[in-house]
Amino acid sequence: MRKMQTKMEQKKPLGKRLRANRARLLMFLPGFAFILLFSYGPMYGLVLAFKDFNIGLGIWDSPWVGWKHFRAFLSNASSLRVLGNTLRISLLHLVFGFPAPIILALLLNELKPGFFKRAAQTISYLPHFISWIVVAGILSNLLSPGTGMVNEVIKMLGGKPVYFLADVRWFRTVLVVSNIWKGIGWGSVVYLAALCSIPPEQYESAMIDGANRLQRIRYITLPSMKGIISIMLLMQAGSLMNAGFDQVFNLYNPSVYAVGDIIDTYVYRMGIGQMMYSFNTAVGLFKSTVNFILVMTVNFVTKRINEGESVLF
Amino acid sequence: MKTRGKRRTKRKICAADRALIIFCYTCVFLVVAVTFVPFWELAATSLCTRADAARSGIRLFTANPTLDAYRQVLSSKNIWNSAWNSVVRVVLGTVISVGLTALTAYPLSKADFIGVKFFTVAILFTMVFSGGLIPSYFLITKTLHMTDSIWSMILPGAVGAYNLIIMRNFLRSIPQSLEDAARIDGAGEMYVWWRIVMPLSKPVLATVALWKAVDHWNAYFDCLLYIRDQSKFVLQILLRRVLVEQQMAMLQEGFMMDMTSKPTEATVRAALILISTLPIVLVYPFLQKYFMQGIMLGGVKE
Repeated sequence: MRKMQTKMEQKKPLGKRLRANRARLLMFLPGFAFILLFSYGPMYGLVLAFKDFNIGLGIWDSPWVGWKHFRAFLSNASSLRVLGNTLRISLLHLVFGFPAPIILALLLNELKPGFFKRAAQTISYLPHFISWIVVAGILSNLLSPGTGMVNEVIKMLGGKPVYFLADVRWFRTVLVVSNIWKGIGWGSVVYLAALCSIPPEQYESAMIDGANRLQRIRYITLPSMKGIISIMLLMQAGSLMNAGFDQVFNLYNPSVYAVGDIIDTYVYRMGIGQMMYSFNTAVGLFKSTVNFILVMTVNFVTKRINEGESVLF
Repeated sequence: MKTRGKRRTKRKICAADRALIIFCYTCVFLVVAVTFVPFWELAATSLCTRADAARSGIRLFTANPTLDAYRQVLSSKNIWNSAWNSVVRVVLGTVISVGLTALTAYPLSKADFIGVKFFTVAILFTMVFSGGLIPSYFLITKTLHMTDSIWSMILPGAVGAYNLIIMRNFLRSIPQSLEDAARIDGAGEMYVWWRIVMPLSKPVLATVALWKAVDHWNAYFDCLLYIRDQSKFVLQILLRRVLVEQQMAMLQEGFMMDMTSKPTEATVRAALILISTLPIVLVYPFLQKYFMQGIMLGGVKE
């Protein structure tokens, strides 16, 4: 019925349809103008990537230089190091950070509903709502070589204090662990929601068949999480070029640039700080393009896995 | 003989189950402890006197609690000023964003809205591709001249694709018959939107509002990029100056105390962290409820 109405509507001349949609357009266009201005507007600025920006000339009149900046980025040792750091940190997050909330969800799922479970969830969600700036403050207190708790424990166990935030051997570990600390509780929510949809009869019949808890997790809980795990995994794989700007930006310092500097922090420092606008627009465009290809691939793959239901569109 | 064997396997299963349960409780307890202890330690540190703070060792309790660090933080003009800027930003940013998003999402939820397919694709595209940092910086500072204006922190993110789609998905689930009844009575689109659709959309409005509010409270990067005037800094920038860049001077004006009893930098930082986290803790019960709801409202699908 509704579809037929739509079809008939579309056959009407444009002027009539515009008039019929007048009120809706008035409601829609202001918000859409924001999207045009603030999301599509910067896309015009991307031409900078193919120019040598000259303040006096402005964006449009600056001379074209073709792929010069892209070639410079992909042949320069320091920018390749930044690209390598980005991929390495993302992969570490994927390997160590990704399973953490799944494991927590499985553990929480085995707890009896009650005060302890609720309190555990409430407390583990808290760090999600705190900014990385505050987490950086907490970490520098916790990891300080002089009085930090972690180093006190190391000293108690007879080790030597480590300056975690300024040591190239430890910085990435700090990134991975602090990311888990901040995200594990909140990350488990998605999986817990998926676990809620398992019909209790499945567990009951397994219990009648004599399956113990471990077997029930192995043969009922885990298989029913396969869908959501594969979607979340692919989503994270799709953002491989984002190694977490806010985290790195608030934790790193010049002594760990060698291992911690990622594309986004590099673009900020070189682009805004040193005003190398064109080069860093090109770096940003390179990153967005790779991201775009990754996300579209992921979308295609999930569509295949879930029989037409995709994550995005 | 047979029954005995059966009983034994049953007991074995029970023992295995019990071990697993104990294991789960232990692990969850450890996760909770690791999450909570840093906050607890901050609280203990923030209450330390200068002498106690200088002592080494793990600090989970303090013998002579003092509020000096809090007094120093709260006596700073900077913290009140930047906290006020943050509050203004949160309120203004949330109201504008939720209002505009709700208004824009409504026509988008109608299958017979003119150009709905084109608009939807145009909106979804912004989720997978963006101009990036430098072009956005140029747009806001050089084209729109929004440097040092509060609008540079509010307008660019006011209408986001993700929130639009979440809102649209929710609006689609509202039964059409309710709107049709009002239309037969001669109600216009705006009336239907304000009087019928919006009251039914309270859950999604609350979710998006809280998302936006927390985002605004925690945002700092736009302020770092676009605001030069120190009197317009938001709280997160002050926090960054003190916690990340270690510029303690940001907090020390207007507070005189003799050097022997003055709180240490570590205690002041701890107090500052706890004070800045307080608003989040206060709205935390709502956050848990509505953030969760947002996740349940489902993914972004066409």
